[in-house]
Amino acid sequence: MKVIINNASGVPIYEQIVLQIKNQIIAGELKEGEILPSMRLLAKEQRISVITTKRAYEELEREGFIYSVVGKGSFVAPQNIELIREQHLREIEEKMREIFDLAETAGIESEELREMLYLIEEEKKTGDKGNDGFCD
Amino acid sequence: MWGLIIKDLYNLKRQLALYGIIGGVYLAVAGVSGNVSVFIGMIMMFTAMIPLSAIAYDERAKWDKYSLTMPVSRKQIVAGKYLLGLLVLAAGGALSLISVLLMGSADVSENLITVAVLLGVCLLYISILVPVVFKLGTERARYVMMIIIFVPFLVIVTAAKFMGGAAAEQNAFFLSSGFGMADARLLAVGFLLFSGLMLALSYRIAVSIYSKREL
Amino acid sequence: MTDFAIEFKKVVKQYDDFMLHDVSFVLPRGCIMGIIGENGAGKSTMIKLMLNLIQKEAGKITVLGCDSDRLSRSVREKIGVVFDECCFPENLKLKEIEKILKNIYQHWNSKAFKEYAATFNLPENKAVKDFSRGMKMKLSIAAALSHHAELLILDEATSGLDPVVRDEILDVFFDFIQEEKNSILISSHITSDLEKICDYITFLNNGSIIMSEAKDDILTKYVVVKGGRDELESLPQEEIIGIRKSQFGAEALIRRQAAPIGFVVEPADLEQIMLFNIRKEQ
Repeated sequence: MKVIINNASGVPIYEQIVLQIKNQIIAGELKEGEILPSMRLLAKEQRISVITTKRAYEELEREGFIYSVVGKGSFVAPQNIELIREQHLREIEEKMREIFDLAETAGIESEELREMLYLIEEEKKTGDKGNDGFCD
Repeated sequence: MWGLIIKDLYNLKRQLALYGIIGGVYLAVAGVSGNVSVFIGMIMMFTAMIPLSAIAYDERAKWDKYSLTMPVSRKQIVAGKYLLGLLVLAAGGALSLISVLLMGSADVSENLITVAVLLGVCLLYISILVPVVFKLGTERARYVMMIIIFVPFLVIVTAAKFMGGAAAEQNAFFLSSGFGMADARLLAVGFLLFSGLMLALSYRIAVSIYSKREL
Repeated sequence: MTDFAIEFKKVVKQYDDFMLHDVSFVLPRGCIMGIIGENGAGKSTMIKLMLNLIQKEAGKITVLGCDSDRLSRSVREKIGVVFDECCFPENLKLKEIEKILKNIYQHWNSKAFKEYAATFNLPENKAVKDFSRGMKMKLSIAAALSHHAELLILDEATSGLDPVVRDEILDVFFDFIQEEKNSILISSHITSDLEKICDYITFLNNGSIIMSEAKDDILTKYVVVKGGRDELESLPQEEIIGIRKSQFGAEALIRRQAAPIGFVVEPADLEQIMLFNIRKEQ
């Protein structure tokens, strides 16, 4: 498991942990049944509060990514990839509706939106490449 | 509580050693002159100082505050100081006794009375000063200490001056009234018992003072 | 067993020139709480009260489930305390201290103490009076951690230490807190120390508690906004915690949700939160 915390990003630390563990589970880097480090160990290694790691694990548990056994620790839950995908699709759809609503009030054409989407995609691609080069 | 006493003994190791050396010198002098009373007085004064030094060290290091966070009660802390006092007094008393028996001249019983009276004086000294030090802290208690040491001294000196003339008469009076060795012995034992009682009373007072002390 | 390592309920302590007003807070078990505040804010008074070194006028303090007025022997066994000055008499050496504490604490762990002494590089043959400040602090911490304590109370223990030593000590604290029943209360006026390790922060000013919350909540609650003086003055005054004006602009501590668009907004750290709050009080 890999967790990298960015103190300057403004994103709450527990959200950063949730997102990173979630991504690793979805990507299959963390396998079903695999044990996660204890909340206290994670807090120690990252020099962060136990409350933060606890909150992150609770969030992951609520979303069904992990489960906890009292006295044993937290484990990666069996994942229904289809279900996750569907859930994500639903979230995206919701956000898109918001975008369209906002565009309508602002009088922005759908052509302009597509343009925007394309630009963001390009930006992401080059940005990711830069990042990858840096990390490896 | 043993930990507390061990702590004091370790911490006062040097002081004890120094007293030992000085005591040794006086003992040698006593051996030569055959007069052990000075040596006994010396030893007794030293031992009476020990519990007060221990309290002073504790205060300076803030051990007094620290020890209250440990699994020892305030009562035990007070008791520790009294026990330390009794311990060194017993050692000093034993040393004096041995020196009296080994090298005292013919008047062993007179020297024994001296030991008993000095023991009593030391007990009284501890009885008065320890509660005062616990109440006021070493810094402020120092003045009280001076008063306690010097006032009786001054009183005796001036009294001796005034009564210098009368002394001889008095002595004669004592002798004629049949005040002998047996009475002196009785008086010494009585005095020792009295100081013991004072010490017990003093301990109770010190405990009640220390249980309210804010540190 | 309660869920709280320490609980203060409306505690009052009156001195001639200082008063602790109605102080209430809780330290849940398994957590680290930092008490921040200026010198003289009442941090040490609070610590002395919970250890029954001084007596309170009103209120109730519970430590490890025991009323602080009657802290039992067994509870004191479970408390390790480190004061800002080293409290061992000056003539003592390491081995002697070990023997003394072994005779005081029922569950004294000689092995642990020796291990700490080794990791902290404490000299064997020096008397305490010849220790550096860092060494004295480490000695006190080693003593506090070597008798199976469940609650560690530290009063300004890390102030005046160099960053390397501080970092070593923070590591030791994290190790201690790996045990779920263990808790730490640490007071400091150096907020950066506490920002790293604390779960909860209690902020004390002039004898009163300004806030006592999870650190992450405090840190996300406020932001620092920078802008022109008149721009910042136009913001809703009730959302501004404190403002600092300079010749060329101003910065203000403000509740996050009230942060205006179009200004430079930065996350606030504990020090800024403390300073702006004290300034507001004044």
